[in-house]
Amino acid sequence: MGIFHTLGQIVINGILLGGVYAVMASGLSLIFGVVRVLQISHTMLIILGCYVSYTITTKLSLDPFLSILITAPLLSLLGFVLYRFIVAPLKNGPPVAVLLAFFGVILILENIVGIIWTTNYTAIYSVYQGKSFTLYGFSFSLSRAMAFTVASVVMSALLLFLKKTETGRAIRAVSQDRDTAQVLGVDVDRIFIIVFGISTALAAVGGSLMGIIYSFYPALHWQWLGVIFSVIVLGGLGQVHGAILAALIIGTAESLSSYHLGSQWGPVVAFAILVITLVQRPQGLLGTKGVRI
Amino acid sequence: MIAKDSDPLKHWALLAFILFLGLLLFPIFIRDRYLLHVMIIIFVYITLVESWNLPGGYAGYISFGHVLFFGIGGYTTAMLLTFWKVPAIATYFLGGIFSALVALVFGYISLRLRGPYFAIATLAMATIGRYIFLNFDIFGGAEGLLLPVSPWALEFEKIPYYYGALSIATLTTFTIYVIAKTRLGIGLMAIRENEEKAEGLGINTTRHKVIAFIISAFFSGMIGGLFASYLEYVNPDSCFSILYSVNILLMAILGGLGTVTGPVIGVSIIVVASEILSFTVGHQVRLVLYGFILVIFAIFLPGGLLSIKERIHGIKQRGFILRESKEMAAPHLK
Repeated sequence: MGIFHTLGQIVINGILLGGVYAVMASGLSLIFGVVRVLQISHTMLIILGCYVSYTITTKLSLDPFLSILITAPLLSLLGFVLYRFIVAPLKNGPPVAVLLAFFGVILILENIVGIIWTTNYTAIYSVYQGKSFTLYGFSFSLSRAMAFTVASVVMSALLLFLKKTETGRAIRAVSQDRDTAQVLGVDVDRIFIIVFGISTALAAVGGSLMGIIYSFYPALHWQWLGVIFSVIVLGGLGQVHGAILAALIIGTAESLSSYHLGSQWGPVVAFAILVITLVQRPQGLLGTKGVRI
Repeated sequence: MIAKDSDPLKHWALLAFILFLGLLLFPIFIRDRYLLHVMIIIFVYITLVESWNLPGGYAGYISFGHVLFFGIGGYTTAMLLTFWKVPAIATYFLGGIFSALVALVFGYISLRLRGPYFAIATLAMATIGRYIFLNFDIFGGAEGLLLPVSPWALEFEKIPYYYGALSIATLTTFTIYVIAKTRLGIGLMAIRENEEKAEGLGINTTRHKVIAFIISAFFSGMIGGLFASYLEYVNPDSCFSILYSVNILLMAILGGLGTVTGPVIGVSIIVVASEILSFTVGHQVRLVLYGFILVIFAIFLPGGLLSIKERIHGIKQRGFILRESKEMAAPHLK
């Protein structure tokens, strides 16, 4: 039970948390990489995912992990709506207008969620809560370990989809060079819609997993926006691989700072990493040099 | 763009003067506490939106974290009044100066970022600020601090604050109006239209942006101090609420970004609407409505209400921040 054991335990908790952050961040990173807009209401969609999962879990008395199978497709419909009514009309417009419009979406969703589910703290109850198991002398919280497992499966599926399928290849092509992809016969509009759907579904998955680990309330998304944005900037904007690595780093940093400074400093650490990255290495950890923000 | 309104300028100046005179005399005729309170809120927001507008509307650097400077001003006044018994008016200036110093440091770091990146960096800055005041015990934690009641407030209630807020709002509006006509203001607009070209023309863009940011922070800090002493308390939620930033954005875009009259119009509409809607449909429904307003304005009328006339006449929108800023999306793509 030395200092290294404590440290190891903290890092494990951080990595388990980081896995969930990866799911939360990858959707935002994907949209940025492909559609080139910053979807600042992404974390609000994550909160919405928390609440929808909460309702499904309690009303249908489903296992919270199974509720994801309903929450994700439901929310991806909202992703189509957002694309159709906000991104598509502003596609050739100025990016600041998109930013302001999504700011409006945040206000709408946050307060509708507040009206439906109240603004109090809520938590998704599960049978895994409070249970833990020991492996190699380290203790693992059961709900966090399961959330991490689900997150790993989802992330692997996403990476495989992007790498192996025809649509995935088209998505990567559009992200690399939109005009050339279009010339080569890729239906860019269709790709954008798909990406928005996937991204919102990922937000739903991330929200459900987060809701199982932590309690939540509607305005929490501002804090998460900082964390998730730190992740995608540190990982290199638009890069899903980078986002996964960065999510693990930020999860660990948050876990370490919670232990040494107190949990109230967690968001500050994430934001500090964000500011330092933006200034020192705006292209992110895995980004190529010469990229300018 | 600037010489164009030389004739209507006289009308505007006269109108502004009559408005100012009316506002000066307002408390003599109307002693209703609630109306005075609403007027103070309007002055506070006019100061915030006008000052936000200098880097936001004129230079095109949209900030989501402007509330930071308001909060720093509030806490400066609170600390000075509570622990050192500094005269209230001096604390407002000190709050402004302290905010300006923070803006100097933060602006120097963050103003090299553009568009959405700058916006998120400012959001980060406001969040860090809020947590610093929340987590250190000298600032009173989540409870905040109670300010000593000023003897003036005991005797004249809201009236000293009315005139204080009116003075700061007028000073801010007038300063921004003058700045917009100077080299600094024109430089800022050049940055908004095309930063690379502005730099190529020999404008020191970094210095312009940082100066705009500092001026903006100074006035917001001053009004933050005044509002703290008016409320007689500060806490992290009253000083750093994201709602301030939301309202500032909404009022600015409603009136018209990068104009002097736009913020005054936007603030008046939103403050009055907020009062009415809070009583009738409630706080949350009101914010849902505001969300729809933001979305609709962003898509259909990004120049704000002031641009309606020009839209009808088919003239190119003046002070239209969003038109040329396409490069801001992903400059690295080029």
